[in-house]
Amino acid sequence: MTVPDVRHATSVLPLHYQRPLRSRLWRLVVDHWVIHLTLITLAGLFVLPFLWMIGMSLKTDDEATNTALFPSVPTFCGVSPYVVEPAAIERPAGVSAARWNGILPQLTQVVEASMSKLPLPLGTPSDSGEKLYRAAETEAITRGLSRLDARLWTRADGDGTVVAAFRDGVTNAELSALLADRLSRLELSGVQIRSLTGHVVQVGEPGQAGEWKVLAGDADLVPIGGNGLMLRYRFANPSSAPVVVRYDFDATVTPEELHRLIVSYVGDASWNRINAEVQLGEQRYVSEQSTYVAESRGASIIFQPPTFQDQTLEPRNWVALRPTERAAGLGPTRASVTLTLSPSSTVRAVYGKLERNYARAFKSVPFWTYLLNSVELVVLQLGGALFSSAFVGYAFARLNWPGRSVAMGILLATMMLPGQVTMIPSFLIWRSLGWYNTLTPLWIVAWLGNSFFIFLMVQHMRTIPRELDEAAKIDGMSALQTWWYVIVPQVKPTLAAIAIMTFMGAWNDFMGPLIMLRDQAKFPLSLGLFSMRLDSGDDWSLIMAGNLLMTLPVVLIFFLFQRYFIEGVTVTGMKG
Amino acid sequence: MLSCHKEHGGKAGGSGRSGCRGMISLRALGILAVVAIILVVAIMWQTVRRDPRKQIVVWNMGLMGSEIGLALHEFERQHPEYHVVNSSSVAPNTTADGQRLLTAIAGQVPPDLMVFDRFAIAEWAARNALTDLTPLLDGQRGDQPNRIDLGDYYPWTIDEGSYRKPGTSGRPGIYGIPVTVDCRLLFSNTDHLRQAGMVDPLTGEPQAPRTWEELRAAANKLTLRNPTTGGISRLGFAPNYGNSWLYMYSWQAGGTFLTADGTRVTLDSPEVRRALRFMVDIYDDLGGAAKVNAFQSGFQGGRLDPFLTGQVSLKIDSTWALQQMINWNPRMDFLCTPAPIPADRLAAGDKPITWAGGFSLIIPATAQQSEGAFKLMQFLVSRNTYRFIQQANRESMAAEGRLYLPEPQANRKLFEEIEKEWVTGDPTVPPRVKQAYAVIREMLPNARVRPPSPIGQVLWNQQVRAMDTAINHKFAGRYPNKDDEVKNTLAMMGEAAQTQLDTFLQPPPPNEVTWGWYLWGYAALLVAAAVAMVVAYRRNRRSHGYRAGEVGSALMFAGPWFLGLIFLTGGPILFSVVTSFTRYDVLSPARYVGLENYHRILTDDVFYTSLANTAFMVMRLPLLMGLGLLIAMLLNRPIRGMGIYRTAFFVPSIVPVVAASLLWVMLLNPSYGAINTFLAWIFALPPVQWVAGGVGWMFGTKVLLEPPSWLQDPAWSKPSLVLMSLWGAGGGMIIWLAGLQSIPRQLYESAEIDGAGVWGRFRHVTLPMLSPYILFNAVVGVIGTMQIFAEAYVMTSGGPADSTLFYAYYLFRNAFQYFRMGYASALAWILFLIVLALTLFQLWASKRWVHYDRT
Repeated sequence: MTVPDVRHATSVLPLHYQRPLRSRLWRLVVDHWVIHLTLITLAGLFVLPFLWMIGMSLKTDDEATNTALFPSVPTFCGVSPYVVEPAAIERPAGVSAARWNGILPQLTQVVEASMSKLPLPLGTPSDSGEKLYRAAETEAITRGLSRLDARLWTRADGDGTVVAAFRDGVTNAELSALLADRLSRLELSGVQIRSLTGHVVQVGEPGQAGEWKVLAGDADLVPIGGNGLMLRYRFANPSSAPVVVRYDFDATVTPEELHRLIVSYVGDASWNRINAEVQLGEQRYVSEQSTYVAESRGASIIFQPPTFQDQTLEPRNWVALRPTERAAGLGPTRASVTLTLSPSSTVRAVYGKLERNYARAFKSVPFWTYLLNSVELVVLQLGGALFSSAFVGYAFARLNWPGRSVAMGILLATMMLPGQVTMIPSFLIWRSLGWYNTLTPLWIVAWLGNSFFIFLMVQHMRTIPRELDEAAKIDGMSALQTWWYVIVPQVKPTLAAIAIMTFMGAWNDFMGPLIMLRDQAKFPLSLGLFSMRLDSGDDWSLIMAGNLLMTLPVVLIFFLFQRYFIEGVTVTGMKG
Repeated sequence: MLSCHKEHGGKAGGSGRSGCRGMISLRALGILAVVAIILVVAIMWQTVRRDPRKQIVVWNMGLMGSEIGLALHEFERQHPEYHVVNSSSVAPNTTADGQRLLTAIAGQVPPDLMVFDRFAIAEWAARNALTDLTPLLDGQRGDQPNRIDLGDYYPWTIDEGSYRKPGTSGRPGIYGIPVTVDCRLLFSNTDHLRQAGMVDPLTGEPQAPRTWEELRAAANKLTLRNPTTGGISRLGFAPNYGNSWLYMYSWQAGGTFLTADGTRVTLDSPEVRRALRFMVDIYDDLGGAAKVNAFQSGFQGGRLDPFLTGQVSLKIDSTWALQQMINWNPRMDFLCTPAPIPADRLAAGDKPITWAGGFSLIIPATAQQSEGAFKLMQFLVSRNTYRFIQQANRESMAAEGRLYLPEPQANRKLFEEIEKEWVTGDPTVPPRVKQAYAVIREMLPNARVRPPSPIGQVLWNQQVRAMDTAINHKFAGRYPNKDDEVKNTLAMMGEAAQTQLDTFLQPPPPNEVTWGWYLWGYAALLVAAAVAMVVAYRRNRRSHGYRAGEVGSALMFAGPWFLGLIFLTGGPILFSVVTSFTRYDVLSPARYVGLENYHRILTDDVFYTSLANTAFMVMRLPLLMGLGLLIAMLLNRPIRGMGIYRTAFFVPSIVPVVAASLLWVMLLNPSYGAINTFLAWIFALPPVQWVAGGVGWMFGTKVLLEPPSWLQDPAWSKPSLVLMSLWGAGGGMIIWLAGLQSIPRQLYESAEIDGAGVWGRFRHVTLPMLSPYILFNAVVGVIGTMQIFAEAYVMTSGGPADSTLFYAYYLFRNAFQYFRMGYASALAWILFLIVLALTLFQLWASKRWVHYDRT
């Protein structure tokens, strides 16, 4: 936090204290209320869209189609399976409240009659059966209404037709599906192994309960048909002991051949965390990150020990397995996966949600490689732009030489030709210098002067009184000395502006790197994240998270340094 | 005394001038040395390290699946002599990314293998940019393990990647091996069908329209309107929502865009006219294209696709929409059917058709490792690799909690095999997805593709423009009825495409450009400039007061810029002057055509449209400058929390362009965007309603307050972009702050003593003192705005109805999409002259109001 020193500020404006009282009061009001209010309103308008970006970056796939600014906040979820509360039933457009109140009980009756004949999904806890029926009924009515022929409401036949049509639309298959859908649960559905030679092995027969066992915790495994196995568990509080389950199977690959191990599951959106331990023959591995069970849908976790992929720049969609000490026990031909499900407190769950898309963004691009390239570009361009604009600007603004106005015209004119038509010849020049696929062309131009910044600098230098140069000359200063000791201190505000603009330009430029670079290892963040758009399609949460990761450092730098940029350069030259 | 002493008061104070001087030279030398070392190290750092293996550079491989890296690694494992450099790309198709490939080919550093938009192959092949794969394919041994057998593929996928010069005969060359396929189907929201009673009378199952007539009726029936405002609240069907375009409807009506020999553009044939008329009719039924487009969220698909959120009932879209639906709304109930065709054609026995596109693998003509590239190509399309990639993609999707649907493939055998396993045979795949795949399998053998043509991109853009122009009734006033309007629009757009086709088919102009002469000319020009400088110095020494020392220093100070100008900027500028008098496609030598390009520009209607669009945007300058100055003045005072305020205003200008454009497409979304939600709330306030009612009463009409459709409405698209750039005004604030900071306090103090108030001080101190900055912003702003490009490139692609087709974007299209670099250069020089005139005017006018040097 920077809180500008108010006392210091008033000393810059000493006249505050020499004014009459009325005026001082007026000032106080203006400075402290009107100004703040205006600023807060305006700043709010400017920041609001940015907040939307942040909101979007935190959403899960399940929240994808909802237009709310911020996603829902997860809480501690200790019991699974659990019933998901449906949204309230909405009255169809154009139906009066009175009529609706009359017809809704009839519709409920229709659904109830069919629903009560249906069995609860396997594994439903005995105490939530009634609640599950209610939830599925509500959802069934909403669904049924949404597909009802809209003209029925306007017909004169009365409610009977509507109810009859509604009844026709209710099918047992759909009601069963809704029952299953309203029960959020954790299912374990299979284990696959992929070898480094690309061979994929399905471990265990799909459809069989297999060898999953509960080793610890308040939990049991319920076969629910298909190839699923429901894990029912209960955490009394966020610090309860974790649930541990294990799956034993025959090892079909050796540790040397193991590429990845894939555990498929159906999530319960509890935000509890899964860690794994894998034993393959005598080699033991431990997972390095925990996976949050974030959504109610089928998913899988890829567990992967160190492989060639760690050296590539590919997206890292796996959870790293760390090899630990060898342990005897299972024998060379047996293997096992042990999953530990730990409860997440509300704080932990919120943290998990905050972190999830950002972690994905980090893993989907070689973030640090890109960042390093960006920093290199920014530093070199920054140095170049500051030096060249101040240096060249001096020649144009302060020195008298033949051809200056013509040169100034050319300087401005070079800005006027669209870059698209000089792109190819410029590229040929860089290539002939051997700088294709290097960052050099991207920053070296900054050292040779950018017309825009030179022009800005000239505009500032022209406002500096001539007497300063004259005095410097009388003092016996050379041109270089005058430039450095007299002029440069005067143009610090403009240098600060140039620094910020160069920073932004270098940080965000992707067209230059796109043309110049071939190796992904040399990409700066801007280009790297731009190409993420291609790879991740419509995954806006991921794109927003990636872009925020790129924006936040700049925001932070600006925030920390803005007073040096702007306030630290108060002009004192005239007072000397 | 001056700053020298100030800065080093302690050390240098006693020794006076000489001490000061000694300090500076040492220090300056030190700084220079450090800078030089940094630069040299930085350049060294960049030098490419050598790898003993042969490099195969591949581009755009991500389009074959996110896990392509695994397959490339497997290739390296099997072929240790090769190293594959995988360079991803930024645009999802070649046509938007043409500048990268074109520059790389021009610089003779093209990739060796590339995933390429199949429809663009002919255009590049026509300019000899691609390798003809026929000899490589014919040279394959029968027993080769990864042998490519074209018999396994859908024949049209091969045809679309083949090319022979229009009007000639013989076997076309095969330039691409097809990989993926997408095709267009009709997607229906089954709940909406049921709601509207569109069900099979016998089974009660929802039934999608099968003919154009049914489709048009359904579009009207399924569209819901807000009873109070009359605006659309749910869209039944829009002909161009999703992915269908005029191409699809033309094929359905039995039309084509080119004659069979490829030499005549048939955009104005009766079938195409019928297709466009059909599209126009539906849009008109629904209340006009601007209203309808309001429901399309700027991007195709996406998380908030209106079809997924139930705001659109029917759409014709590509197969990729299936994966999106499964990702973002897996519980959605939909129906997939073949797209409808006209009833008379159905009665005549025509089958429904689909339009297919997709990607192919190509090898650029100048690739250095074409042998290795072909091996890699064989490897990538082999059964093993295909299954390997698919498996990895599936794993990767599952890790994100998404169900993977295999993308249709050009290799029919492989696709049907994996489809059987992962879709039809998988019990976890919802039945509606299985049904969709059944339709895909049925439709693929009967798919149409865009005709391979050297002007494919022009043809594409012209049909988009024809459609856009017609549905927005841009020419409504010119013609008596819709039929004439459609006919003439098509004729006009077709003619422009025909001109370019004719130009291509003509024998090339005789004279090639010899660049060597220009190099000498350039050198002579530089010498002349130097001589002129010396002469000016000699002649005007007295009158201008030149001093030898000062001129010498000036040359040193301006040195870096001179270096850049002479070696980096000057050459390319000269190059663009010369190319503006040539026909030049970058891929073959430039040939002189005299003033042809300039003549054509003057008769090019798009030139005028784009110029007018660009000129409109200049209007944002005063707004931007005013807002930036206002913010800067508010922020230039010492109050609490200033850091936070400054950051808040600054943040928008650093949001990367991708995020910013996504963001604004969302905010400006006419139906649920934040801006229109706010406007709707304002409009609903009683006082506003009273005023509206009063105004309506005065003029005898009913005033409907309706928020605009922003980016989707040709009248509002440019104001939308202005609004968007105002959000970035915080960036300009930096310059204003710098200006404000350099105003000496004494001036304000003396003004205050003279009795000036707030306004007086602003008027007589701030404004004059800022005038150099105002001039700077005005000059640079005009130059920048006249070259406005990014918004069109990233967000709007020039639409709707050409309303955001800006000059630089049109120039870009010519240079990198239409292969008309000569024309683009001429456009650039015309723009240059316009901007130059504007700038000179500003500089001339500035003499009256800009205030330099306080003395």
